[in-house]
Amino acid sequence: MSTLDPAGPAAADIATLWWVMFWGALVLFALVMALLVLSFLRPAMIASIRPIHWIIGGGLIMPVPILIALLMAALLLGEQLLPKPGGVQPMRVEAHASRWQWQFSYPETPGAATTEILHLPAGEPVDIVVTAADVIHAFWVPRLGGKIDAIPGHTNVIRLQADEPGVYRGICAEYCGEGHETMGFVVEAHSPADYATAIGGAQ
Amino acid sequence: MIRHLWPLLAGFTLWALAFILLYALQYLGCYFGWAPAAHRTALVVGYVMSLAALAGALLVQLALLRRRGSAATSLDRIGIGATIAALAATAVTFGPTLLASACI
Repeated sequence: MSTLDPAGPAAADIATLWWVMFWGALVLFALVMALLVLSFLRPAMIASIRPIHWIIGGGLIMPVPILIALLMAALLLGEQLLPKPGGVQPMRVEAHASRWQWQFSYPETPGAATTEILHLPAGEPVDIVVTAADVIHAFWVPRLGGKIDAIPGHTNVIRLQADEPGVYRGICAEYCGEGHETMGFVVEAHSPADYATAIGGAQ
Repeated sequence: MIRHLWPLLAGFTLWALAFILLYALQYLGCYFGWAPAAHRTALVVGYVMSLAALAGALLVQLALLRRRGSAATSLDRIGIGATIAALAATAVTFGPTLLASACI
């Protein structure tokens, strides 16, 4: 279930962003700690820095480039996660949330439906069309991509891809009532031949 | 109280209004299915209007500071700093409305 063990391109982008932020935060932490140590070991050196230089250096020069770099990284990586229209459209699967279970249907295979098991073909993107019946839920498969809300009366779409066949756990990531913690599901990613068999069995 | 604090509040109040304006434009364009070029144009116009409003507020504050001369207070000067910060925050935080995907 770890987001740091990505199994698809969307999750890999998110993990990359996390690592960029982690190492950036670590560098800043080390810098602050070094200044703290210097304030004990070389207090005269620290005292020689004028307050205006602390404000400009620590309040503007240091954080602004870092925040802009993080904003750019988040935007560039975030754009890659979006299910944009145009081009070859991937297969669509519908995920419908209700208290407290997930139901999945497969428009390309009429009549096919599963509860708490989502069948996906491995190695290709799939658009998950997320809706809700009652309250706000959230669809999340940590090893495949980010979260997306399931909102009554609204349709959200998230594009996911499992690079390899396997089983990936998913959860409801928005508190939705007393059964929230039981509202999990499993993604079974199949090779193309196995996917047809799995969907055939779900009809 | 507000009468004295307005130099401090003006910049980030305009930033908040720009946030509401741009968010509303993005949502309405997606909801009503505006043509992508028209939607982007509306967002760019909203962004430029937001920057212009903040630049205008800054010019007014600078003019007032000049007019007051030695009677200007530290609040007037800090307010100018706050408006400059709000102008920079508007340029950076709403900059993605120029390029980022609006609807999916």
